[in-house]
Amino acid sequence: MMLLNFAIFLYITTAIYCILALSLDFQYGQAGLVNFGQVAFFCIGAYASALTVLSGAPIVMGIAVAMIITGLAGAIISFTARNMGGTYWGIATLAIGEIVRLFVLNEDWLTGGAVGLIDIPSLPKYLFLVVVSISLIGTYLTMRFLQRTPYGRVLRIVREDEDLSSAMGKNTFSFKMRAMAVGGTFGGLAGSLYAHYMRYIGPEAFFPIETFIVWGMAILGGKGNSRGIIVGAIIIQFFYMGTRVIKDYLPLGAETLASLRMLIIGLLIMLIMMYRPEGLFPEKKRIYRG
Amino acid sequence: MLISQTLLNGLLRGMQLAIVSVGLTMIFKILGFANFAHVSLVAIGGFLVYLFYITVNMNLGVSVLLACTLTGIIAVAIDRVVFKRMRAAGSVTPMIASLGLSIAMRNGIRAIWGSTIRSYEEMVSPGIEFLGARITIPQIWIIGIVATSMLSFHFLLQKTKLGKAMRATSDNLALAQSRGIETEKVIMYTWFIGASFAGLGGFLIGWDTQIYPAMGFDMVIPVFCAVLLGGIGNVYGAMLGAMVLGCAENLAVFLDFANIINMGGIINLVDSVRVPIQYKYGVSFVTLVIILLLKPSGIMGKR
Amino acid sequence: MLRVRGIYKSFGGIKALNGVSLNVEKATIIGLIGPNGSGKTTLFNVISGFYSKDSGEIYFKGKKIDGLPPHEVANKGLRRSFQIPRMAYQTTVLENILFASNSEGENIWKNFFNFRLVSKQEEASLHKGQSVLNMLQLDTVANEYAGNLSGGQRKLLALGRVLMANPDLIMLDEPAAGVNPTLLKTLLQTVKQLRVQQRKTFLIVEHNMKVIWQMCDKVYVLVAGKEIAEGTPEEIQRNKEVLRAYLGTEEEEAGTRD
Repeated sequence: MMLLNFAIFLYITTAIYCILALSLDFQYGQAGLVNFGQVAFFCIGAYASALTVLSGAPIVMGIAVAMIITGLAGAIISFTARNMGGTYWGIATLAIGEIVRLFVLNEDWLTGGAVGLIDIPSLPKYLFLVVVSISLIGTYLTMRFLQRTPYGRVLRIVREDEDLSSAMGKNTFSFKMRAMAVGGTFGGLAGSLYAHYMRYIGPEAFFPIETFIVWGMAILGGKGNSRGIIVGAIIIQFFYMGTRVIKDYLPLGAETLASLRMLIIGLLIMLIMMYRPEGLFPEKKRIYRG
Repeated sequence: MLISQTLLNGLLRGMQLAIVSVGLTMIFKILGFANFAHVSLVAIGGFLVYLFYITVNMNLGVSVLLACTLTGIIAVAIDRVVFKRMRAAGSVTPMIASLGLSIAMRNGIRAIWGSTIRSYEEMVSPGIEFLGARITIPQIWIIGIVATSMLSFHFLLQKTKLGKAMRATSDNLALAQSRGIETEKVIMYTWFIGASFAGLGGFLIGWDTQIYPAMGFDMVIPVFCAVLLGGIGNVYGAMLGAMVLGCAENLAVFLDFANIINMGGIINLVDSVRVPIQYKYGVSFVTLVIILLLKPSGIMGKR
Repeated sequence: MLRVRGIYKSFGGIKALNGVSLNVEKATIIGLIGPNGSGKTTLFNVISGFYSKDSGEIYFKGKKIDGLPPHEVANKGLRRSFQIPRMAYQTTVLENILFASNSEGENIWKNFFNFRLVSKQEEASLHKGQSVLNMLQLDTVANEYAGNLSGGQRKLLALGRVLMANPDLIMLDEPAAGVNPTLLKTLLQTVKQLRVQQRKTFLIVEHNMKVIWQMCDKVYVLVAGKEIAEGTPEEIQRNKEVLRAYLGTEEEEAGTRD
């Protein structure tokens, strides 16, 4: 029984991370936007859904509201990227993520402050499993579909050469804004699933380190390759959870183990960038037939 | 709290930010990427001093000197191993690598020393009163040390051969190379100096307050903010930006903006409008986003 | 078709464009020549919207276009190529071509709610793209990464991209540079064909004088940001001032380049 519960826990948390990683990769792998504040969408989605459902709405509605709000947030935030290159955009999104967390921490009239929100309604376990699975499959299929559309095609070229895209008549800002809206929407989906699964959320779950773990998943798996992203997410999540499980069998304290775990993830990110920046599964070439 | 205390706090914070920002802005300009691992050197410096001074029980001055030198050497080693191969890889790849490195560094510190907050002395120095503000002995030292360091650095930049080479490399790497300057050597010295300053900053911050593994990363946004305020590559701009930001953070929570809204008492629209103290560090986050929206090249940057 | 009136543009203290004016009539091939640094590429950048002008006016098909962002200028029917050919290196040649035409599918929602329309358009685009590649003899490398193309092939790709969009005025920035004689012949033939069959207009910047004399109906000479002469190739070749200022060295270079 314990093992089954743990397996379900592992599956659901991994699926949520997969959705987060896919939403991040759409911004980075497809649009070339370096978003170091993805946790902001996760956070806003979680709180938006929790608050909606706590005021009486059904969970499906909570999720929908969360996705709409985070989608809009993505579009709005992209306006700050208007004039910025990749580097500045990374710093700016990091700051925005922290602003969101500070807001959530301090405005306790809305968010419960440091205490957070408790007793968030959820669904019966197996029903929730179905919802999570549908969400993950839906996210994956949507990402793959979008990549194949003319929109996806232009986005990839905007990623490589903005001036060329402008010369070809594309409003590059509009493409990037929509990419962030998509990234935001699915980041919010992950957040709302998280809120209803954990049934408790607080600002301590939304530190920048969450964004960085998701970055590790995205770049390990393969920038621009959806299947690869899922593999990357699974590897990192299993590593993360695995080291928590074997904690009792190792002569190390919990704190030391936690820091070693993060140390390894940090080194992994660094090594990938040094030796294989395209990740395990590089982006596939698109061939048109007939 | 009196304005003199607020200004003193602003000065102290500004100086701490300044000594860390100088190294970051130089590498940002010369190598072309945002090094997120720079602030981790702050934590390393702080903990190395702890190691030498408290654990090994060496003289404080020697400990600090040793720690700063070692931090500088560590940075040079990091450049050799990690960043040198990415010289031609654009600005995003090394930035992400530096992010991973910063995670590794602060967790390495955490693995060795744990998350417990530590300080150098057991007792808090009571300090002396000065113009209505209370200033402690370490704080006096901080002002003195940072001022001396910045002046020495200014002297180095303007009056020495190395300084000239550093300025030339920072302005235009290709041009400097064509003039025969060994830019890789300059880069090495830049890393060393910037990192030692960061390590020194770590000690100073730890001396004033405390040390803990994330002490570097906690200042990543304010430091980037100072760098961007001053214009990337402009060390004087970074120092100025740091001072401005330090004072802004403290003034923001001190001032009652109702005075402005009520137009100096002419009308009485609102009672009291203050920035909540919890948002103090948010000041730099918001300032950063605003700067980037308006003018990425900063106040003193070159356009 | 294109009227440029008195364009001034400075960078810092340097005057790149000093009151340039020129006229391009429909279905003509106009050449723009001048020494290095005379402002030819700068002028292209101003016309296509990449640089803002300090003063002056630009009219395209009767409407004012100065001040518009580059993508809007492009969508009005004015397309340009770049001196050093630009492309998405890590994307296939075919994709590089396809993205040049405007597609309904660039609107995300239409892909979901108007799927049939988008697919039909995609098919049509695919056909057109393949025929463009055929014409430029790039069909063999359609599914190669654009980064793997030779210099001459890249120039052809740039031309192909411009053609996909069916523009009215095409500005080519040094189309002949680095292209071997056979491919160059194809390129020039295509340009002539387009002018005759589809009444397309061309404005070409070139250093290769043979190309200019061969192709152009009219030539403008740009020196230090201002046009100093305009006329047919014969008139320009005989113009003493032009010869003095610039042509002497150029013809030597063009002579030795073969």
